[in-house]
Amino acid sequence: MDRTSDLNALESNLYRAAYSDGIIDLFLGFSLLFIGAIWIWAPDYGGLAGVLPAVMVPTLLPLRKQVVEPRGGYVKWGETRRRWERRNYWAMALAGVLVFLLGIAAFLVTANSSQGSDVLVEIAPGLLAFILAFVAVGLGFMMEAWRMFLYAAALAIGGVLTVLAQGRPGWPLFGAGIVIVITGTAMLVGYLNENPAVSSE
Amino acid sequence: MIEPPEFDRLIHEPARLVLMSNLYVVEEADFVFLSRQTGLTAGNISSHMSRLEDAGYVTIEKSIVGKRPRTTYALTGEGRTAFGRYRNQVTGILGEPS
Repeated sequence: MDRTSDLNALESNLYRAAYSDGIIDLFLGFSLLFIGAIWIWAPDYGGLAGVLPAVMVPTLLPLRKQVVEPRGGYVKWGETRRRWERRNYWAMALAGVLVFLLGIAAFLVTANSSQGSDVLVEIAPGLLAFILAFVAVGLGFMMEAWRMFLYAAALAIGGVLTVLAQGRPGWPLFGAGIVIVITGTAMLVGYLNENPAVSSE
Repeated sequence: MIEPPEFDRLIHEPARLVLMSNLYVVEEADFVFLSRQTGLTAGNISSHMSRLEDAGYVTIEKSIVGKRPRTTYALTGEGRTAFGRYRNQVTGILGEPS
């Protein structure tokens, strides 16, 4: 019998519970909705797509702290978990850079090819959705939150449908954004109802 | 005849066992976190933690964070050792046959 398995399961449960508030989901969902909407309805203002995520990233952690700590409490994870988190952050960052470089390489190959790369041109509308699906899978492993795999599936399916219909790249993001915002809202409402703020100890 | 094991009675008590298990798998946690995760009341947590602190098993740190009082608990080295010993005793008796 693995004598540490019960305690590992306990730690894992605590860790998952600490991310059950839905705030990260709402952040992801609104970012995708906003980027998708700009891409669909205001492609000339594509630069604005980065504004909402850029504003939300620095406010996410303080906001979560304000909402979660009075309700769910404060915890500092053990060194093993923090090392695991750091390793995953680096892996995600490295994967992001690699995907970005692959995207540039694909663009250059397509642009410089006299005949053009038909495959790359055809999958181009769904490419961002595929990349974001990959990010969602990474987040799922990091947060031990299996719902992230559903978000990844929503993005990937949206990407495939967009490729098949040769639609605008914003649609899979917009569609997945709606799914994620609904899920995040339901989670946050449930969390706030189940965990009223503790005013005194 | 099997000799009954000498359990650490301080840890063996169910509420303290749950509290120590939770603290064993993290570095530190505050009162609200432990209360949510264990379902124990404020009075229960406070009294059990005081006993564990007297035994040298936990440290209790009171602070003010954003105008809110925060009581943070952490296992000491002695507490970790005692809990590890207790766990080995229990799994030694209740562990599945190999």
